[in-house]
Amino acid sequence: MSQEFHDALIRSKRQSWIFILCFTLLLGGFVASLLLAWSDGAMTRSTQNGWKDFAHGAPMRALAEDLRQTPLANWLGRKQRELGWLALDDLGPRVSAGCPGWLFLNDELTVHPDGAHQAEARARIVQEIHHDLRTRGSQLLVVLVPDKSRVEAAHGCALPRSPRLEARYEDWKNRLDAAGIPWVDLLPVLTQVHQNTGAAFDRSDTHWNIDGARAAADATARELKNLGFAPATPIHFKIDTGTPQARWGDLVRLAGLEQLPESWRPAPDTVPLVNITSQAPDAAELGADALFGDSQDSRVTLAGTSFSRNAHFADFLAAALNAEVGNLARDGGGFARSMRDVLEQEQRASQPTPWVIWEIPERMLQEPLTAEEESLRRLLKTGATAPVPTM
Amino acid sequence: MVFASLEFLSLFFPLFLLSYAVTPKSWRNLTLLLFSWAFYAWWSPAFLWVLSGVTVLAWGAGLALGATQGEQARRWLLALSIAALAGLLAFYKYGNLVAESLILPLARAEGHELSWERLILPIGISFIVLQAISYIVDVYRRTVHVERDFIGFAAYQAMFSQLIAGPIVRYSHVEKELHGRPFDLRHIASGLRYFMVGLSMKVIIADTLAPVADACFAQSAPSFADAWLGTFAYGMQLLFDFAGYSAMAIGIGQMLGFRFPENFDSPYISRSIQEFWRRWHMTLGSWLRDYLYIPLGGSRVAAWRVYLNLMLIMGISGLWHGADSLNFLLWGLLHGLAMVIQRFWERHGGPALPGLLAWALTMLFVFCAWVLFRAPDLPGAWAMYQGQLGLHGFSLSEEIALVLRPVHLLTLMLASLAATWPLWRPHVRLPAAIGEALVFWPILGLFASAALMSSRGASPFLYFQF
Repeated sequence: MSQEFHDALIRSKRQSWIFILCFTLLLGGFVASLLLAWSDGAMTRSTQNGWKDFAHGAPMRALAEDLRQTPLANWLGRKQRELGWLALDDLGPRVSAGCPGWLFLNDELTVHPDGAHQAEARARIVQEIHHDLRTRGSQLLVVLVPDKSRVEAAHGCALPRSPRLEARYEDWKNRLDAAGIPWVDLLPVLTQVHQNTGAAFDRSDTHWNIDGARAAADATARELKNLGFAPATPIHFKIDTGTPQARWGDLVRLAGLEQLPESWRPAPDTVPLVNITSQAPDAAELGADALFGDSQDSRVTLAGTSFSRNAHFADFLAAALNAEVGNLARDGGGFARSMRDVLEQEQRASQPTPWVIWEIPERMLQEPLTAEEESLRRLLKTGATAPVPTM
Repeated sequence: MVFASLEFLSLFFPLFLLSYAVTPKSWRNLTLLLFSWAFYAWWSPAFLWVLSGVTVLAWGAGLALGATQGEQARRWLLALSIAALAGLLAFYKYGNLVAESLILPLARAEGHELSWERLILPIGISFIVLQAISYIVDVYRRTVHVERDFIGFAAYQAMFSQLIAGPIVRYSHVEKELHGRPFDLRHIASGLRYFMVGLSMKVIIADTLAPVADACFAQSAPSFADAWLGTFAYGMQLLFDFAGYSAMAIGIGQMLGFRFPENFDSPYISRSIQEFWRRWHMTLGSWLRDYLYIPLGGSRVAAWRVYLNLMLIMGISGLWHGADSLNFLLWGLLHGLAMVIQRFWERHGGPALPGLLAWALTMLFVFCAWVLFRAPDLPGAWAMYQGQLGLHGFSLSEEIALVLRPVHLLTLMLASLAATWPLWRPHVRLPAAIGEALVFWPILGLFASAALMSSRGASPFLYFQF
C-alpha cells in the first residue's frame, strides 16, 4: 500500500472529514479523559514521582502508567476484554478456563526458565528470616499453599499444566525440611476437602473456598499447637453460616468481565455467608499471667498473601487456636511484602511476637525475585534487617 | 515515545497538531523540531545530546564541504565526518562486545580488575547516523544543496515521524518540502488513513502475536510444533511491527505535507531473495546499494568481486542490526550467501523454478533465517533449529499451549492473508457498496487499537533496538 493508494481511495471532501472527525473524536476523548483524571487527583504515580530521575525518563513512565487508568482508557480496555470473551470465549492473558465453569490463574501454570534458582533463593530468605526471628525469641511456622490447579486437577480438563511444575511443591517442602523450618503441608488437607466436598477452591476465584480455608486453618492450628502454642487465655469464637449467595471471584475481575451483565459473565460461585465472632473468655479460663485478660506469650501474627485475607482463613485460624491472630497479610503483596511488615513491627516492638505464621502460595516460589525481595535478601545476608527499606 | 501508545495519542499528537496548525508557515520547521526533540527525549532526555550532536556534526560537515573547493580537502572532510559518525555508532553498538570479549579478558589476564558498565543503546541511533551520512555523502557528490538553515536541517534530522525506526529518509527526499509544504484537508485525511492502517498492523497483529513468539523463543528445548509456530509468529510479528511503524511514519509525514519513501512492498510474496530485498526495508536496501554497493563496483566488476561485494554488504547489513551476539552477522551473511547462490544460478543458466516452488523456497529460507535474527544467542537459535527438525519431540508443549489462545490463531490467519494480499486481491470481487464502505475500515482499526492499547499498555517497536 503506497501513499498514492491512500490518496486515490479518499476521493471526496466528505470522506476526508469522516477520517478527521473520527480521529479528532478519539484524540479529544483521550484529552478530556486525561483532564478529568487530573482534576480528580487520579494521576497518583505522576504526582508521587514528580520530576524525580527526569534524565532517565522516570516521570514519563509514571505518566504513561497513569494514562492507562484514565476513564476512557479504562472503558476501552474493558470493552476489548468483554468483546473478546463474548466473541471468542477469550479470558485474556492471565486467566485460563478448565472444565466448564472452572477458571484458573495462569501465574500458577507459568514455567519460569530460572525457576529452580528463584525457589532456592526464596528458601534462603525464609531460612534467614527463620534464624532472625529465633534470635529474637519468635517461632516461625510456614504454611505452604498448593496451587489450585494442583488440588483441583480433576477440574482442569485440558488445562495445560507443564510436567515441569510437578516437583515444585515437593522440592520446596524438602528445602524447608533440610533447613529445619517447621511447615504445614496443606496438599493432603486440601485434597481431602476436594474429595469430601467436591472442591477446596472457588471456581471463579484464585483462592480457597470456605471449606478449604477452614481445613487449612485447622491444620495450621494443629501444627502450631504441636510446636508448643497454647493460649494463655482461651478465646471462644462463634461461627454462623448463612445462606449461600452467588459471587464472582477475582478471576472474573482479572479477566475484565466483572461489569458485564450477570448472565453474560462466567458462572459464579455459590458462597455461604459466614460470620465469626469472638466471645469474652470465662474468668476461670484466665491464665495466671493474664492479669488483665491477655497474655504476651500467646500472640500470633499472620503474614502472607490474599489467601490469608480470603474465605475467613484468619478468622478460622483464630477460632482453631482459641486466640486472637494479628493479620498482617497483604492482598497482592507477593512473597515477602507482608513479612517485611512483620519484621518492621518486630523492630519497633518492645517484646517479640512469640508466634509468626507465614503463608506462602506455591505459585510464587519460582517467580523471578522482585526488587523488594532482592533488597530483603541482601539485607538478610548482611545481618542488618533493621530498618527494612520501604519500596 | 512510541506512536502506538496512549501518551502519544492523548498528549503528544493533539498538542503537536494544534501547535503546528497555529504556527505561521515560515516557523513550522521550528515547531516540528522542538516537538521532535521532545518526542526523542521522552524516552530518556539524557540521550538528546546524541541526536543534537549528530545533527550539529552533519550540518557543520555539510557547510564545510560546501565551502571547500579542493577535491582532496573535500575527500578528507568527507572521510573524517563519516569516521566520526560511524565511530559514534560503533561505540554504542559494539562497545559492550569489545569490552566484554576483548578488553576485560585481556586486563584480567594481566592481573588488572576492571569493571564495565554496559552501554545503553540510544534508540534509533542507527537510523539517525545513516541519515546523517547520506546527507554528507550527497553534499560531497553535489547531488543535494548545502542546507544553511540549521532549523530546517535539524528538523529533517529529528523529524519525530521517522526518527526512531525509519524509513531512512534522505535529505534529497524532503529537500523541497523543508522549504514549503502543504498542510491541507486532502493530505491530512490520506495521511491519517495511512497512520490508522499502520497502527492497526502494529497493535492488532504484531502486538497480539508477540507473546506467542516470545514464549516459543524462550523454550530451551522447543518441540517441532513450538519451533515452527514461533518461527511463523515471529516472522509475521516482525513484518507487521516494522511495516506498521513505517506506515505510521509515512502517514504522519503525509499529514504534514512530506512525501517519505515507501519501506515495504508485500515482502512475503517474493519469489527470490533478491526480490525479497527489493520489498523488505526498502530504504535500507537502497541506502546500502547507493552508498556501499555501487562505490564498491556494484555488478560491473568480475563475478567473484560481485559475490564478495554481496557477502560484504549483507554482512554489514547484519552487523548494523547489532553485535551483542554473532546472530545478526550470521543472519546477514546467510542472506548474502543466498544472493550469491541465486546470482550464480542465473549466471550459469539455471532453469527458473515454478512460481509456487520459488515462493515456498524463498519463504522457507526467510523465515528460517529470522530464527537467527530473533534468538538471543547462537545456542538459542540452534535449539530452535533442532526443534524445527523434531529433535525435541513433536507436540505443542504445555508452556506454549498456556499462552496460545484462539485469538492468536485468528491473528495468524489474518496476518497471512494480509501479508499476501496482492496475490488474492485480483480474485476478490466485492459489490461496489461494500468496496466503498471498506475505505473506512482503518477507522475501526483505530478504535480497536486504542482499546487494545488501553487493555495491554504500549509495547515498543522491535526496530527500536537497532
